[in-house]
Formats: sequence, structure tokens, C-alpha cells
Amino acid sequence: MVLLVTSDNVQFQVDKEVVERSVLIKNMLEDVGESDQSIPLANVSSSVLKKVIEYCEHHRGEPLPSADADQNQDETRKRTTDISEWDQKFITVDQEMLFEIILAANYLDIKSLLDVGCKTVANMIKGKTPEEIRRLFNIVNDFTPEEEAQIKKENEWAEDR
Amino acid sequence: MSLEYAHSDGDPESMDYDSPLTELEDSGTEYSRETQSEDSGSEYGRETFKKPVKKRAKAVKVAVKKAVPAAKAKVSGSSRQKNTLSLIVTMPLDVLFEIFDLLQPSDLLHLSRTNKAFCEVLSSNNAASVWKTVRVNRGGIPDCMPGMSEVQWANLFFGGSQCHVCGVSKILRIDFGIRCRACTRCLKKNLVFESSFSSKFPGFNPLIMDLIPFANIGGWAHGHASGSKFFWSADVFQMAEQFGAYQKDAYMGKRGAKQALEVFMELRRKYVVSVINHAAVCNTWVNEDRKRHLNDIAELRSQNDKLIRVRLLDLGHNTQDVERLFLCRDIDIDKELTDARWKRLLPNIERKLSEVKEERRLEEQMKASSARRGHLMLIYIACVRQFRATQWASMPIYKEFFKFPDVAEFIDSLPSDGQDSEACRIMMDRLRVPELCAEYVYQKKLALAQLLASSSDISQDTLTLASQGTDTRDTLQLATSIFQCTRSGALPLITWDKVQYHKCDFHNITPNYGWSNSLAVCTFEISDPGVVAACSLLSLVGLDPEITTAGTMDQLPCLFFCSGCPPMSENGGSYRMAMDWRRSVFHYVEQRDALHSEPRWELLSAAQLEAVQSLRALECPGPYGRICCCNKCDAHFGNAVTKAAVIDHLRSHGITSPKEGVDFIYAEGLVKRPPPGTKTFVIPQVLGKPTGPGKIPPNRGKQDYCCQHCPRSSRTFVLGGVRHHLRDKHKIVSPSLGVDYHKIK
Repeated sequence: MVLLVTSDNVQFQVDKEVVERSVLIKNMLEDVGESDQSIPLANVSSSVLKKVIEYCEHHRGEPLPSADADQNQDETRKRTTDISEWDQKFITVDQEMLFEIILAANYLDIKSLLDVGCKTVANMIKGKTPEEIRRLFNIVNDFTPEEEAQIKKENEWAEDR
Repeated sequence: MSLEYAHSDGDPESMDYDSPLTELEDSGTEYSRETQSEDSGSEYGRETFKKPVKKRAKAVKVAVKKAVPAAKAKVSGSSRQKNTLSLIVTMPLDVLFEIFDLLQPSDLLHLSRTNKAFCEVLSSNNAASVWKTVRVNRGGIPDCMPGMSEVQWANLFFGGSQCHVCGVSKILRIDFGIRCRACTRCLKKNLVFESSFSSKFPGFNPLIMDLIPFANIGGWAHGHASGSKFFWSADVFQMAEQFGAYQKDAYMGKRGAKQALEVFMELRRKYVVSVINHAAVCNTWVNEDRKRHLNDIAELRSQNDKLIRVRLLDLGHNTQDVERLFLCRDIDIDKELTDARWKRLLPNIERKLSEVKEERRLEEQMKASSARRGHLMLIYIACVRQFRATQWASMPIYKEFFKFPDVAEFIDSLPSDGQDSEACRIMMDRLRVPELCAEYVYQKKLALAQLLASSSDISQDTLTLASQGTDTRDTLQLATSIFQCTRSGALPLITWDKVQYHKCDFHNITPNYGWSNSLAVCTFEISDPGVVAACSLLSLVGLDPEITTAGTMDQLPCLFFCSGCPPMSENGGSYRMAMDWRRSVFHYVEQRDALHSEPRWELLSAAQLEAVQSLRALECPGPYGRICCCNKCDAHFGNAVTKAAVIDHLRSHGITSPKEGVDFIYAEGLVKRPPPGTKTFVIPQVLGKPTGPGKIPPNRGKQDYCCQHCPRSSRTFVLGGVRHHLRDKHKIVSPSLGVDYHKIK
């Protein structure tokens, strides 16, 4: 068992097999070796870690994606945004938690969870107009009307025709 | 949440960090995707536990810093709520690129237009791999066109279907050669055909045509490509300017200017070739993508059709209705049929389904009613045929029969399961046709009596009684009771006797009893000119229009000249037409000219009357009219024949001396007009000149022979005349006195 301590000082005793879905922790454990020392996760709050552990528990034992596979995928393969039913249910959280999970997955290097989070955000963006995207993520439109018109114009016409 | 991190960390250094995304704007630092990944890997993954905390805190700070001002106006809740604003822009760049990789080019384009930070990140060279990935996601869109940025390239494909020049929408074709979407009007206006180059741009060196990318489809070509080159006029001006600058330098003798011009031209030529080659690749891709898209849509529609069918059947709808729905209504859904979409579409589909159901119900009702009408028609006609020929004409046609309340109710009742034939038979057995016919006649008379009532002072009660036959002065038999059919025109129908037999043919070609489909249901109205004519005639003979019947008038030995018609000249003499009162009414109704603005008659003197009567009118109706029916059988039902034919037919019944009205009848409905008038010379003709028909010259000898084969005819002949008549009309070559003709005593 591995002891994890969150940013709000909550301790989680997690099965090693489960926690090793995080490449960060896995490497750390390999580097440090067998130790009773707790692992502080200053970037992850207890509520987020709880979700992350839930995810890792569910996917316990599944093969971890290899780095080579990722590279191959990047260049030539069409990226889909399909999410399995359980994952979809799991990731149905408010926007703040969603981004926290993504950040935690990125920090802990849990590729599959990061994928689920990114796919969810991508699905939220898909098919929306700029204004709808702004509303969805509360993005402030910092373009002046002139700049907006200019961007549109520049987009339409190649500069070096 | 992010705020919590900042506070819990409490490191003042952390406040110095800015988001990679938002920082781009200020620092101008280039973030390569690979570098980011590596960096984050090293920072988050491999360093001490404290390091990532620091970076994390930095990102958080940005969120607070950037988000709060925008949120101030709206959000006044907890700090946690505030920090939900613009969280996406606080994401590390490598995470954002992960997200971007999953999008479509159009989404990325839209994202680049949301704010400056996204715009800059996505416009940077570092985002090239993202654009490449999303092009793969979108079915392998060809690489960016030489000379265009990724955003411009994405915009060309997905920036909307507006014309890039005038903004008109629904322009689907992209011209990759000139790298724009333009409507036909703008293409016509802006494209310059290579042959017209010199005339359009007389001051420009034609060499520059080699330096400008071109289109192969002209503005007037309706989208058909050719081998010709069409240049975009703005490109020409731009190139002329650039080319001019190089040329100027060369003319000025600047060092290296000529070489610079050569290099410039060489590069441009290569550029043009690359653009044109790439345009061909893009066109191929667009065509294939369109096909792929159409196939996808067709497949999706087909899948959706199946799904919708199953779901509607599960909801308990009838298979027939569902099939009909797809046949008659547009239910094409070319998007994925999610539960939410189904929920949204269902009310509309069910509305259409209920329309279809109603249509089917009406169709089935119409089909059942039509089948019943068919069965009833056959049964009713068979029933009518069993009556005597004398009754046929006064019986309602089957279309009128269908209007009887019981019959109409039966026809319009709900469809049964294919038992219509038997049901019709039972229905007819239940009906008592003679009584129905009597009722029909009563109602028809009543309607006519009401018409008369509305146009005269006769009281309703009197008319009702009269129509029931309780009043001896049957108003429908009065000489002034003249009607006309609203369908067939203004031919006067004098008294009930004519109205009851009147039948209208749709096509008005051959009037017949025919109980055929062409018979129409007639409605009647008062013939005003007919009534006026009849009244004037009655007045002339001194009879009371209120009580004088048509029968009385028929028996009156009176003939009339129309004073409106001038005498007609013939053979040096002049004549007028002597008409009986019925003919006179017809004459006035038909002569609607200035001379007949009001009826004016002249009664024939006794001498004139005697002269006319001595001439004997032509046989009317004529012997060739197909107006006779056998009264012994239904052989001539709907198919009246000539008198000779009916006499011949009666021999098969063993009747050699048939009697009119007993053995055979004249179909009164088919005799529409009274006998024509008789020419009466008011100024005698010059002797020796030929005479007109119907008039025997006084010096031709006495006409005291009659044809025995024309018993109804009052025509008389001289001996030679009756022989000729028998030969021509009855095909009797050797007639015998007493058998074929007789002498009037």
C-alpha cells in the first residue's frame, strides 16, 4: 500500500497496483524503492485525488499505453473523441472539477485519464461558434471590433497572394 | 479550487507566474509543442515534489488574475465560483494542444476567434502540428496551400460559405487556384481571361501572367473547368506592383537588380506551379470528400429510418401508418439519432403520423364509399329496369338516389371488412324503391312549387296542396309554370310534364335516358323569359294566367306570329312562321335580340289558321329520332331507338299493331323542342317558282295520301310523293294501297 497526502493534508492509503497507473508515482516508487514514507501531492486536493483513485481503481490491471504507440498516433491516425460509457459517467462533473482532474492527470501522468478529460473538453467545444465557446468557458472577448474584422479579413485572404 | 491551491501554498513567488497561453501575448516567447511536453515532463514528473507545486500555483494565479475582472460584474458568489471562469485559458499549453488535437479544423478556427490568446497560439508556427492533426481528423484535408497560413487555410475550407468578396452566402465551391470562395457574380467581375489580359491591362507586361496563380474555371463557365487561365484582377495588380518595383530597379541600373528580378521571377514561377499542383490535389480531395459525405449521410439516414421505424412501432403505431409516413413525408434525419434528438423530434413526427393516419382513414372511407356506390348503382339500375318504360324517366338517376338520407348514411358509414356487396344487397332489400321514387317526385314538385311561390303571389299552402295533387288547379301544370335547368341552359321546360323527364348529360352530346356516368343531377329555376312569353300569349287569347293550364292552351285552336320577326322574302312573296303557343315560348326565349325585347304576338286569323292547318305540319318528332322505347321489356333501357326499330322489336313480343303509350312510348325527356313553325305566306309567291319545304304549292294537286308506316305523322302526300316516301324511308319498292298507304277520305 502507498500513502498519498493531498494539498489539504488528507491521507489516502492506496493499493500499489492502483496507484501505479500514475507514471509519476510509479517512477517515483521505482526510484525511491520500498519505503513507508508518504508521497505528498501538493498539486492535488483530496476531492480530486478521490476521483483520480476512483478512476484508477476501475481501470486497475488494464495495460498502460506505451510511449511508442502515442507517437505513432500523433502523426497519422485520426483522433476520435469516443469515450466509454463508464468513463463518460465518471467524467460528468462540473467544469472546475473537470479541469482539476485534467491537471491532476497531467501532473500524475495518467495518460488514459488525461485523454478522457481532453476528449470531454473537445466534445464540449465541437460544433460551437466562437461566441458559444466564449459563453461555455467564460472567455472574455478581448478583441476590439476592428481587430475582429481584421482577423476575419486576414483569414479570408492569403497575405502573400 | 484553484484559489485554494494558491492560498494553501502561500508562496509569494508563485504570483509571478503567468499562463503559457496568456503569456504568449506579452513575452512573444515561442512554445513548441514538443518543448512543452518535454518541459512539463521534466517539471512535473521528474523533479522534486516542491517544483510542480510552484508551477501549479503560477497557473492558478493567472486564473484569478485574468478571470476576476471579467467576472466582477456578473459573479458575486464564492471565490470558488469566480475561479470557474476562463479555466480553460489557465491550462498548460501541452494539455491544450492535447485538446486541440481532438477537434475539427472548424472548431479550431472558431477557438482562434474567441480571444487574442487563442488566436495567437493557433496562428503561431508551433501550432502547425495541431492543424495537421485536425486535418487528419477531418478526413485528411490536404496540407496547407503554399503561401497561406494554417488559419487562412482552415478558413478557406471552414470559414463559412460566404463569398469572400461580397459576402453572399451558400457558395460551396472553393477555387483553389485563386485560393478563395467567390460567387459567380464576383467571379465574372474579377476574373480576367488570359486572352483578354492585354486589352484589360494594356500597361502591364504580359510576362507577369506566368507569375500569378490562376483558375481554370471562368465566371461564365457554370462551374465547368477548361484548359484556359483566368487571373484574379487583384492578384494582377499586386503582381504588377511587385514586378514593377524589380523592373524599376533594373532600369535604374542598381547593382544586382537584374539578378534579383530573375530570382524573383523564378521563385514566383515555382510558386505558381506548386499552387496549381496543390489546387489539383485539393480539388480531388474535395470531390472525394463530397462523395464520402453524401454516402455517410445516406447511411446515417438509412440507419435513422430503421431506428425511427422500430421506435414508432414500439410506441404502438400501426405498421401501415409508419410505412406511409416514410413514403409521404420528409423524415430524413442526417444527424445521429440521440435520445435527446429523438425526444425533440418525436412531437413533430407524431404530428405527421397523425396526419398520415387521418389520410389513410379518409382514403379507406372513400374507397369503401366508392365501392358501395358501385354496388348500389348496379343494384339500383337493375331495380329500375324492372319498372315499366313509362316510369323510367320520372325515376331519380342513381346519383340522386345516393342522396336519399338512408342511402347516403349507408354509403358514408365506416368501412366494413370487405362485405360491402352483401351489405348493399341487404340495404336495397330494406329500401322500398317505389315509395322512395314517389317521395322523390313529391320533393321535386315541392321544390318547384316553392320556386313558383318565390316568384309569384301564390301562397305556399296552395302550392303545397297543389303539389300533393289535392288542388285541381295544379300550379305546376299552369301554362305559366315554365322552368329551365341551371346546368344545360335556357331551354324552357314547360310545366311539370317536361321537368320530370328532363335529364342532363355531362357532355350534352347525345341526350339519352342513359343511366350512365355522364348523367348529372339537375337543379331548376324559373325561366323568366318563358313566363313572360307565356303570359303575353295568354293575355292575347284572353285567358287568365292564374288558372289556365298548358293542356288548355294545347287544345286552343290558336297559332301565333311573332311580331318581333319581320316577314321573310321568298320567291317574290313573303312569309311568317305560324307557331303554336309552346313554339312561341321557345321562340321568344331563344331570340334574345333587340327586336324581341318584349314579347309581341299576332294571332292568326281564322282564314290563315285554316290555310295552315290544311298544309299539315311535318311529322314531329321526326321518324329518325332515337326516342322510342319498348314498354313491354327493358330492351331499350338507356338506349332509345327509332320508331321503326321499336315497332320491329315489338314483333318479338307478338305485337304487330303496336299502340303508342301502351306497347311503346316516346321518351318525353328526349323530345326537347315542340314542332317547328309553319311557313305562312302573307304575300303570295310568284307562280312557277319553286317553293320551300313544308309548303305545297296550290297548283300541285291534292295531297290526300298518308303513309301507314308513319302512324303518328300527320303528313300528307300526293300519290307520287307517298310512293317516293315509302321507297326512300321504309324501303318499300312496290307499295300497296291500304297496306302501306291510304287515301284520306
